Amino acid sequence: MTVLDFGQKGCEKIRRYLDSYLSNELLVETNHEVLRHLERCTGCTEELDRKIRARKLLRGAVKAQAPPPALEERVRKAVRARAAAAPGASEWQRWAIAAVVVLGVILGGVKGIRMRQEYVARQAALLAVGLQDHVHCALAGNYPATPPSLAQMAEKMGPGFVQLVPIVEAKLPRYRVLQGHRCSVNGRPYEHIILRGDHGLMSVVVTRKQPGESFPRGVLAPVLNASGIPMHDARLDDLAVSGFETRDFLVFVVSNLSGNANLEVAESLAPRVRGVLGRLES
Amino acid sequence: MLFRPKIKTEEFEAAALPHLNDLFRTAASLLGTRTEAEDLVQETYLHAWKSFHRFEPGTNCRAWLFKILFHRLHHQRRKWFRLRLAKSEDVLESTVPYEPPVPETLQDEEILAALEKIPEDFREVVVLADVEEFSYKEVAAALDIPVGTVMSRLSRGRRLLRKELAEVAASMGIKKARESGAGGPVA
Repeated sequence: MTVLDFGQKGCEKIRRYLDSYLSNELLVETNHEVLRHLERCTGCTEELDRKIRARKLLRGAVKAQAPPPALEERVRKAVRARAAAAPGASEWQRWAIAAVVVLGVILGGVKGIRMRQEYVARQAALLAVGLQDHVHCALAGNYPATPPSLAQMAEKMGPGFVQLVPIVEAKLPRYRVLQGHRCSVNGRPYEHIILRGDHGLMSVVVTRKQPGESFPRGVLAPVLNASGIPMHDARLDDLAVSGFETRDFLVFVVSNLSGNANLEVAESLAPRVRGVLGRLES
Repeated sequence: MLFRPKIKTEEFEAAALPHLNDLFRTAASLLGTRTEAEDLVQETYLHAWKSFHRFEPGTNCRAWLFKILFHRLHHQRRKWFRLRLAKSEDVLESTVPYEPPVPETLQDEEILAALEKIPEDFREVVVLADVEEFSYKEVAAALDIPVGTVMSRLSRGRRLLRKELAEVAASMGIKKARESGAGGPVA
């Protein structure tokens, strides 16, 4: 009697575990307990067997339901249509407006705020031009596993722009050049140098000015620096973009350096970069 | 984040499309028609595309997609204000322990018909755990319910399904007996 009782209680307990046992969700010790019981209990073994067979029937029936072959193409088309409908330009507008709001609050002052807002919006929009190349090209991984040689970079950038590479290397000895090429983002061509430092990737970007494109002047004194070249600087989340201009070109440095470090890099590059670009302009 | 880099559709398609068949067969097992299932799958992928920038590459894309699928499915159900039947947990259990025999063979349609007979809440858990082989934790995440609820719904769902399978088999047996001219029910 006691043996029977014990057996029944044992089976009752094990039966409660069987579902989790079947789904492989039991702790190792409990798993062993169940196995040991099953070894000497035909009743519970048969019940487990029934559960297994029922699951097998269900799996077979559900897995036999295949989608119509056209569904994958239909989904592909729908996703691409949705992707095309979302314009890239609006991302930048949102960014520029948001930058205005953030910087406007920081600068403060009721009187000059509208002028400052205009200034900041124009500055932000222009800095976005450099930022987009870093994001869509460098951060997208557009560089080879082995860095190209200077000769290879000259082939892509042309003999004039490739002179920027040794300048950048000289000013940034703790960085490694990963790529020097001409690329295009949103239809705009760039001369693009990608570097890797301890912190991550950095881009030095040069692009020809479009008619009327220029960093705004006046109102706010641009960042004062030893080189005397007006510098423009902004930060968005963890990315910093600094920029300056020559007669025909815009130059940007983009990275995830914190504080003023990105701006300092741009300042250190500015004089010699301007020299090279000045020669190309004449 | 105010700004995000443009994600290419190719990247999304490579990660997400391989799970289309699994998503479809689950949808088809839970919805009335194949057409509804196709529509739900498409809706799922569009929503997945919209939130793909929030998906962490390298994490479980399949589980993420199933979560979106059920989110859309439940949203649909709420939207149509279907009379919410008593929660599955409220369904009284028979006090007689019942270990239904499992038929040797059944047609797929009959098995799916049996599945359709058990309450939706149980059906979802059974399909996710037994067919799609998600863990209790993954099922809980996909359906937004506690793990304890997953366990109890799975247990009862499996038992109810077996009861339905046995009944289908029995009625098929009776049918066959009648057709073959034999008298009385077949065991």
